[in-house]
Amino acid sequence: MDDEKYIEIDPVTGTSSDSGFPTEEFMVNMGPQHPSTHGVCRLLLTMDGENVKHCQPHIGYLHRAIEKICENRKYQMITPLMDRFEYLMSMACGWLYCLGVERIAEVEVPERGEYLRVLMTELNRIASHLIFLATFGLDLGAVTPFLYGLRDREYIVDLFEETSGQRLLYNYIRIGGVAKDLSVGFEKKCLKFIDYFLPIIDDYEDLLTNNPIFLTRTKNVGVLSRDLALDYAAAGPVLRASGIKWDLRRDDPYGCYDKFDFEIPTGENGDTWDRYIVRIREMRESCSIVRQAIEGLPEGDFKAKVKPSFKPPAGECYTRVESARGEMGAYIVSDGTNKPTRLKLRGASYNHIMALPEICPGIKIADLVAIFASFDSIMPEVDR
Amino acid sequence: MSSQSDVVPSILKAFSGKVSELELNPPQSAILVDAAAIRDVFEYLRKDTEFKFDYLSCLSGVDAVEHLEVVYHIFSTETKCKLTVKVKLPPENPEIDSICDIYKAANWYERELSELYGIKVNVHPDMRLLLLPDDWDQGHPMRKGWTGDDFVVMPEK
Amino acid sequence: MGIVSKLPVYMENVPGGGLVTTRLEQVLNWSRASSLWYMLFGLACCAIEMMCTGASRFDFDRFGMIYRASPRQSDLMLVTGTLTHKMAPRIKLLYDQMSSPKYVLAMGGCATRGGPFYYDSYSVVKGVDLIIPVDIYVPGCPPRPESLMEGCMKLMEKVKQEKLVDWSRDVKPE
Repeated sequence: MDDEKYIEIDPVTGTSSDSGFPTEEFMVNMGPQHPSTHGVCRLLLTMDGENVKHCQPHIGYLHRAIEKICENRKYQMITPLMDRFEYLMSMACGWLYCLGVERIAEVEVPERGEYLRVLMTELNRIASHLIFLATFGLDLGAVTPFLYGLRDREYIVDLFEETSGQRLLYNYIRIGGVAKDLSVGFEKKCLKFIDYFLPIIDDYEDLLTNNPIFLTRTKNVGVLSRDLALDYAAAGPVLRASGIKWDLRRDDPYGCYDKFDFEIPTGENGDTWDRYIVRIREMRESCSIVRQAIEGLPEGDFKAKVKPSFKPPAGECYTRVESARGEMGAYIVSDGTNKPTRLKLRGASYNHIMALPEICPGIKIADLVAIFASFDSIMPEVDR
Repeated sequence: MSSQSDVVPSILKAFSGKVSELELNPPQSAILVDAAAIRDVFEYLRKDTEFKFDYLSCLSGVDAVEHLEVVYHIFSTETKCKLTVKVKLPPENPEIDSICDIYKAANWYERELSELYGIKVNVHPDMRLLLLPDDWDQGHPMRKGWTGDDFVVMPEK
Repeated sequence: MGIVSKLPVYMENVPGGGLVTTRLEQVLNWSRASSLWYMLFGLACCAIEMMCTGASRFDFDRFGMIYRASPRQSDLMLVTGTLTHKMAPRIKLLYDQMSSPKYVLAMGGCATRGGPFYYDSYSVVKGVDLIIPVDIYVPGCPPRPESLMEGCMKLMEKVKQEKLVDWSRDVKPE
């Protein structure tokens, strides 16, 4: 009982100024199975009490060797496999691959096909951001956005099921255009969904954006500075939240994006709140692009004729596409046969998780969960 | 001033002898660099050139059977220019210098290159296995003609 | 007449209420099948369909199935997605950490037999049943939420057919 003494602990930082109080660092393993690591990512944390001293990501738990598989598949057989690269934006993955092959083989996509690609990718972007909203709220402890977000995503998924027959991995964008035309009445249903959805985004903002608890947990938490974001080649909403106005749809346009009119929302500080609000604003812009695509949809063919024995000439090409997470890249090398020599895929989440150890030191473990959720990374993009 | 077509001529002027232009299909700005000069070229591209290449998008390895290639794709967010940089390496004992301190994004890409292709990256801060299991002992899987224990090749129809 | 109508029971009225005669294993099986708590073990694409099945439109909660994060608190492991060689020891560890009775449902083509990654992949385990014993296989890539619910309902039927005599045989010292 003589050893007891009163230690003054600062209620805000949780540390004590008494340097004689012995503490020990310990290692905690977060993952690979963890409800909030968004897939199988293992973070090895060195902790001092509640504070994270160092974070070391270990990846590779979902390394399925897609690149090795693609070296032994014909060009048309690769499109369904590309969906599995980033399953929440599978339209964009298919587009990324087909864009590269079309550039090497000089295949001209008809205008209706281009418009349909934009329409489907933007609907997919809204669906992906809804999943972000759902899981971000769930990780912070708010269960309502999860149920609301997935309820509204079901309407988009119904539209996709009508068009391509699948709910998640569509295999809709093919070399030369898209797989099939829109079903009867699709335009009306889509516009009805957009009219229903725009006020619902305001409901989501009511739930979270100005909530004092949410603001305390996300404002000035996990700040990724401009220089660090560019150094680590961050992309998408993470880069835009750090203040850099860079969007591939406007700065390196592909398809027919140069015919559409939309804003690029950016943040100021690069903290977790900025990454969240950029995605909410992007959902509104995507709704506007969908409306423009439907109203401006031209008549004509939706797919160029591509022979079953498709053999592009020898060459190589690196294409980039703006997905919900950022810049996806594909480097395709062709040697004149009907199978690619090399297909290298690059996902935005790879670079974001690479940058995670730089912003970790000194934060609390609950903040780490919020930061990781705000990066919105998925593991197949990291591990391929 | 800083347009896409001036990129390759300005680099050839700065590094004559170690850098040569590549003709690729479809046409794009591409240069071939000697393995020994790669760090100098990237320091120039990052800091000294007017095109301000600040974004390393991708770093990949390619196994063209007679040689190995390392391909870098860099971009500029200010001038919107692009460049492809290639390095050719011999298939036995390939080695390259790391560019982690110039572009931090190269870190994990170089680790992946070394474990999947067997290219030794010099002066890298952290060379552990990234994607493969920790007890992997079956060689470098992305090389052409590699086989392993659990590897089933798809039969030709 | 909730419970009574769902089980084969013999009921008679006695002063003060009713007397229900049934077999112990039926009551235990029925209660176990009506509250299967599944572990959140999302590996890949099928995890999104598992999330959708637990969410607003296709509700898992009406079957009594709630997600639990910890293996110690769950009865059912839904293996959703591709299993790789790096992940295999961890899934074995998680399976061992679950307490009996435990069930495994392999969801999707990848968990069943390697799926689209069977050929030409050096790091994919060709089926989760090479590592842990599986009770139900749900095919699809990814399977629809209705398929997953059908798989869970088949699992509930399987649980209801378990015999009391077999339980002591399954329990091994941990």
